[in-house]
Amino acid sequence: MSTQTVLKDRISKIVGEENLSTSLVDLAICSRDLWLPYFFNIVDRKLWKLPDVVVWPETTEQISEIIKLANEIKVPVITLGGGAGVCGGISPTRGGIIIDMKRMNKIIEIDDKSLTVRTQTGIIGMELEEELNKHGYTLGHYPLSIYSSTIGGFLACRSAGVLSNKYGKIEDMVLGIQVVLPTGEIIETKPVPRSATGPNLTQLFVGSEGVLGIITEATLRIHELPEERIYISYRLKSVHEGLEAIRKIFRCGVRPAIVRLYDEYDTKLTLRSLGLPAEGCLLILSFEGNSKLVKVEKEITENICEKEFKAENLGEKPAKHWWIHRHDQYWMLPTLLMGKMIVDTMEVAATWNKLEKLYFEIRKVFEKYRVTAMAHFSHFYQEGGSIYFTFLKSKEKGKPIEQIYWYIWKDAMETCLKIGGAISHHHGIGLLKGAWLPKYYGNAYKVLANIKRILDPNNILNPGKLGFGGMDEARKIF
Amino acid sequence: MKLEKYSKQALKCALCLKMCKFVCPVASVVRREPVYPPNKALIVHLIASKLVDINEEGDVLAKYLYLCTTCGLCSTEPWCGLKISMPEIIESARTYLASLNKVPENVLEVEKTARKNYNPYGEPNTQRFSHLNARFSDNADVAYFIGCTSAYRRTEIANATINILKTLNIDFTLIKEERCCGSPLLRLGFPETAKEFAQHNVSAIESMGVSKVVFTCPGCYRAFKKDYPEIDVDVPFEVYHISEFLVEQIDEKDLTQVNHEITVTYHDPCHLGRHLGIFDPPRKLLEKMGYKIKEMSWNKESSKCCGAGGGLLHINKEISKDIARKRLEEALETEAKILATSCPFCKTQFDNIANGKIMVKDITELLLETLNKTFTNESTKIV
Repeated sequence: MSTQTVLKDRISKIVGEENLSTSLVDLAICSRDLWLPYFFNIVDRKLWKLPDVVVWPETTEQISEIIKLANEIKVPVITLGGGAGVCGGISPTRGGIIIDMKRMNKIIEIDDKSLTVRTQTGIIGMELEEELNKHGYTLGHYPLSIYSSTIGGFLACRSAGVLSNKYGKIEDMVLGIQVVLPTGEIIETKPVPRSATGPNLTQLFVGSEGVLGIITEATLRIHELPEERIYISYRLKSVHEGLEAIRKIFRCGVRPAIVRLYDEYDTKLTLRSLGLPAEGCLLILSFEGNSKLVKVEKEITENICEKEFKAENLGEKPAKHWWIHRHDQYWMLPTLLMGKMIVDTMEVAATWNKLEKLYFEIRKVFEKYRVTAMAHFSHFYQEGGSIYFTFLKSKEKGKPIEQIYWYIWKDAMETCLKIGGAISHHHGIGLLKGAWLPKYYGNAYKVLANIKRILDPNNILNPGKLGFGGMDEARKIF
Repeated sequence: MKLEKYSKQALKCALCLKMCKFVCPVASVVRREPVYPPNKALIVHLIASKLVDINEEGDVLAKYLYLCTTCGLCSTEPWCGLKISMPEIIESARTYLASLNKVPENVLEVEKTARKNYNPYGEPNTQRFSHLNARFSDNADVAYFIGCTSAYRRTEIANATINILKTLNIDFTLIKEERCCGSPLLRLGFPETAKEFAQHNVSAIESMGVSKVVFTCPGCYRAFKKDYPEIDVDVPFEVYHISEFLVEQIDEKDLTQVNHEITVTYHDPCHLGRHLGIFDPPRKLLEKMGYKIKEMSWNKESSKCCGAGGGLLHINKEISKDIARKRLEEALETEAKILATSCPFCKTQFDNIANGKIMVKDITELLLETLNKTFTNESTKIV
């Protein structure tokens, strides 16, 4: 009997035959995310590496049983959330079982007193947010993929939302989780505000990209809906001045919700579309929460920007416009992809002392390959921030576009490693950056490797990801 | 081939970042990756690219392509800025599958039944008017196209409308030769049969010499207004939804405000609202009756589907009902006394699950009640 037949037979006993599929349509659709090579294949009318079976479980116990079975017959298990990742993290490079989590969408409890929500992780981000809003709360987690990603996907990939400067990233929001380990045991970490009980096991699984466990429930910190939200926008002379202004704002303890500094290239596009002179670097900010606190934060920010940096106050329009139209950039994508262009994003991070250098050095990589690139800086900390590059490149005669794509990433990642930045701020590793993760960690990578070995002796969960398959793993998807 | 016409749109949709996932009413209850709109577009691309074998995968393809209410919410901004028409992509794919005889048995049944009985319910065509307070006139200027659902299943809507028109002294007639408008057939992938019905209906109405036709079923109305011209059937008379027609006929001064302070939430039927842009007339009519409207959080252009559209009520009752339950929850959140709509399908959906939690009414029923109360309470003359 083939592996697929065995899986079909055995898994149907766990979830019922109506909740699994071996049809090509299901296998193809459930095994791709939004990583560029998948788009290339779609345009080229080619398929990709498929799993053996797709499963739609409804309970944690069913997932546990599936994983135990996978251990018994030694096949991989890959978890699918919303499929909105951009790094190939759900690619079934070695076949196996795809678990689509979206039927696990129950909100278990909203605790008004403790301001927490307990939820299953297959719920889409905005579905949870909409329900919280009805109760007067917000999670405060607004990644651009909020309408398509799941809470499990956020947790597994250490996601960051556009309001993260105030509300934190997903790892700051999670108090406790339920996880199915790679051998099938179900564990829980306690949802407490903090503990001094040894290493934080919750955080071990946050960002583990389905390699160390499947997160099935989570208790998350929530907030009262803000009393007020205000926007301000400035024009600064350069990236340097903009970053310095932000550094000082954060040093004062001010935490705007949105902070985005656009480099000269991105500023040109943005301000031109608003009919404003396209010069300098645009900085947009928002403040939200208690009205009195918001007013103070705004005043401190105005002082820093206007008095210290002589920034031009552009009013609320550019910032508000961005918030309302923040998804509009998406609509160009399909047309560009149909022309088989490279259209991708790269998000790296560094401390203040390296941030500007990181920006300019990666820019050089883009220039080397004659890539059109623009960037904004967002997600700030007292210690530094992230850079988000958007880059485009048309086909070149004689060079396969896929090859150029990898050259760009290779040079950019090596540049980032040389400078001492983080090779991903919030998109994760997946297959795309796996080759550079061991170098990023250095000899600390063996800690991750040992944890993987101990938790997953049969290498069942999402094998080859988080750098365990190196560059070769990425080649297996086609 | 119709599929080819939409395959580029499907590819574009499949290359997008899937923001519309959040709003798909079917996917929100089915919760499987292939059911989300961009993945249905990807399925169409896989078919058009011959990457799937229709003979081997036909059942799965049909299953997903018929799991859509064709409500079109996913095709509106801000969820879609690509001007993709998902209902058209889906209908083109259904037509393609139907041309290959690769559609579910219960879908084929609809076409066979409609062809035989001139209605999709399998009821005798001779009894189309049997349950109605019918009126036929040779010289009327206005015709009322009842539609199969109000004729056989929701006669209270047809009768309310007939009584309203009589009360208002409108010179109207029913259409003796009326047949199914073809809408269910268009939605399910049978445009050729639909065209036969369209030609018959238009010719029957034309021969009556009326200048206006009014509709209470948004599906029928959409068929005449939007679909018939698209399948090359000219409509040589004016068409109106009953709310558009009546809102012009009734002055609020002529109605006793018996409904003062009674709260109503209005559910926009997809065919009437999003597809034809008619949002205000039903609301204005309710206001003229004295009702206080409390909107659901998803309303007008963003209204969520009742779950009956695109043939889903027939194809998968359970999923259809689950979608209706979600929409009903929204209605209940408004704490309105009445859930009003203007579509026999939407009314059926909500009526079946409301269990007394909220009163479900078609706007024609509400208007007739108001007119009756007006005449009972005062002898106000309606002009």
